[in-house]
Amino acid sequence: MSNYLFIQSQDPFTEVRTEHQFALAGQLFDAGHNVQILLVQNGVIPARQGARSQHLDQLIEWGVPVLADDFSLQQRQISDDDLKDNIAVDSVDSVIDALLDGHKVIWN
Amino acid sequence: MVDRRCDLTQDVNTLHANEQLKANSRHLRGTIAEGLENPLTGAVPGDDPLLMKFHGIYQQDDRDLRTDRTRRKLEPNYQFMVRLRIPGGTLSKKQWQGIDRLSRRFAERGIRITTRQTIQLHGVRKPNLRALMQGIRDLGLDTIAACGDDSRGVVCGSNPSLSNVHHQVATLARETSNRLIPKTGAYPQIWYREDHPPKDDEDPQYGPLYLPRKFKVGYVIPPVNDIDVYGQDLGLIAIIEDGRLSGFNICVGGGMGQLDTREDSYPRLAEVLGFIEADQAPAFAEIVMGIQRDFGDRKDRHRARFKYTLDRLGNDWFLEELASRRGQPLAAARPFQLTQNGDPLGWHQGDDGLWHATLYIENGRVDGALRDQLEGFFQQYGGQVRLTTNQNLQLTHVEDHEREQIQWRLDDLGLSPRLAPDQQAAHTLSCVALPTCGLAMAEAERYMPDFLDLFNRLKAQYGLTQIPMTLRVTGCPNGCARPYLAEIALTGRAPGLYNLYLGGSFQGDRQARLYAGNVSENRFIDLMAPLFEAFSQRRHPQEHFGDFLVRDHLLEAAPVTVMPR
Repeated sequence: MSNYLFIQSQDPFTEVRTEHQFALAGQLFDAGHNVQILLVQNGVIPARQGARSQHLDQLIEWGVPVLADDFSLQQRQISDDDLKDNIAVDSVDSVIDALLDGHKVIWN
Repeated sequence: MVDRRCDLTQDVNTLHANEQLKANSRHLRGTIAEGLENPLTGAVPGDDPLLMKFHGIYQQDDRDLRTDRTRRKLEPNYQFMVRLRIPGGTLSKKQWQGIDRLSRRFAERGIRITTRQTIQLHGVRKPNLRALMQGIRDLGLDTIAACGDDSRGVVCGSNPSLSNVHHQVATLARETSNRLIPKTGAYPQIWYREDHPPKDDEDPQYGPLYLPRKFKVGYVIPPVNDIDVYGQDLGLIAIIEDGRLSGFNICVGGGMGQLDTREDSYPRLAEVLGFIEADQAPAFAEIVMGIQRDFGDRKDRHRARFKYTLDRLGNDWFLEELASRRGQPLAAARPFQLTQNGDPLGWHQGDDGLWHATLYIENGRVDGALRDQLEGFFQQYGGQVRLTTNQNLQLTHVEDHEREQIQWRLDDLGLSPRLAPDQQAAHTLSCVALPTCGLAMAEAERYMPDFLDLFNRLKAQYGLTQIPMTLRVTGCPNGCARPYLAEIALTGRAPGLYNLYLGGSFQGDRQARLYAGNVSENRFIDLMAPLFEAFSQRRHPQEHFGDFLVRDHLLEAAPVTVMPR
């Protein structure tokens, strides 16, 4: 069992690979790996209530930890209250922690 | 015999100072070009700011900073408001994006959609004016006659479900605007540095004195009276028979502005006088404007609007003069019905199969996160844009297959709630007022979020949350947000004090009456609470607040009438 951190920097509407990355994260989770998602830059857009991302919503429903970068949210004036349930606000420091812990980091 | 002692037949030296300024301006040139080069001040010196209005530019200063800057012996914090001319409010996506880029580069408070369906850019500094004007030109737009004593931007209402009629009417609105704007070479000479030496006859439609005051033309497509057609100097009401545009009923003499200090100054609703064929509309507008040019009062500027010309000389005289200039009398007006003056919100499909969606924009202000959301949205958007006279933004000409993608993008960017806003907010307007408007005596736009919250809580106390009421707040009596056509209106008198007007109709065809003067926020609540209570108890089904006040005779015993200051 491996630990994966997916850093997602683009939104599903403008970048088709975004949904593929979420799907890949889901497959790894389904296979028993530890998976965590960090949304940064425009990647935070599907974190907003009402935003559409079938695979991200699926990951949240399965209990995959989904984090949203605070600075990216602030830049887009998305407040904590605007976020979907079970998305936590964090900073990119979590990437350093993950690297130090030996997680496999996949950046898109 | 018509009394012509105050019109342009008189010696210009006996007319109002503004008339003399126009006469000596060499068709609106003045010394604007020289003033722009003066590095010692952020202002344009002398009387040139008055002439710059004809070019669509107001010189302003930040009134919040006046006292402090005076204490520091600095000149006021001069800046300019630039108002674009966008007939009918229609823009391409690229034009919107271009205006957004220009606003980020040259303006300080984003984009403001106005109640005349155009865009104002606030906080432009003098050294940037020419670059901004040339940037606007490069987008295929201009600012000619967006202000000043001329034909202001021609507004055009919307009816998305009658797309073909709307297209025809919008085309006529653009044609009318292009026909009525001043043609002086001063504009390209000053702003684009083109070579246009003054000529005696360069603006034959206007002459050297232009108009006595502004002249507003608007087209409306029933049943939606979104432009408040009765507030226009010349209103053209589309008559649709069997789904086709037959022509227009014309109404004349509307105007919102008034001075609280003069009893002979008043708002007035336009009167429907007859009918014309559709293709005659632009030429008809030019004839009516010509009558106002020739007979309007040029001695008393506060009585110079067309409404006063009509009241002074009479409708019979006007119809006779009109028939003489047209070569035929007006046909009889035809039946029509107006049902509301708010925008139709949400998605609507036109009879051509294309979709339209209206996004609610609070006070028309596009700034901060909203500006960025829209920038992101327009990167993927393929349709067109239309500004509304209720300061909203319509996405138009959306193909059926595009709608799903557009809705997705709106969802992602957090713009979807703007398709179905709070009904009260959607029926609320305010003007810019402080800190930049030189006429403002009280807050309006900046006060509105707090005031609307208070207003909604008051409505909720009486179970009226679901009933929209047209609510308008302005910083002065001049009426930029058309307060006298609202069911409830506050016009500024002094900081924190407003005159309260009540009883306009929901569809904008009845004038509100002064109910109380010098009303504070607390007094507003005291005055409105019993009226809301009565409305909640005695309201007829589907009855609107303004209609109820009139039917129940609640305006006949107004508690306080204000004395002129």
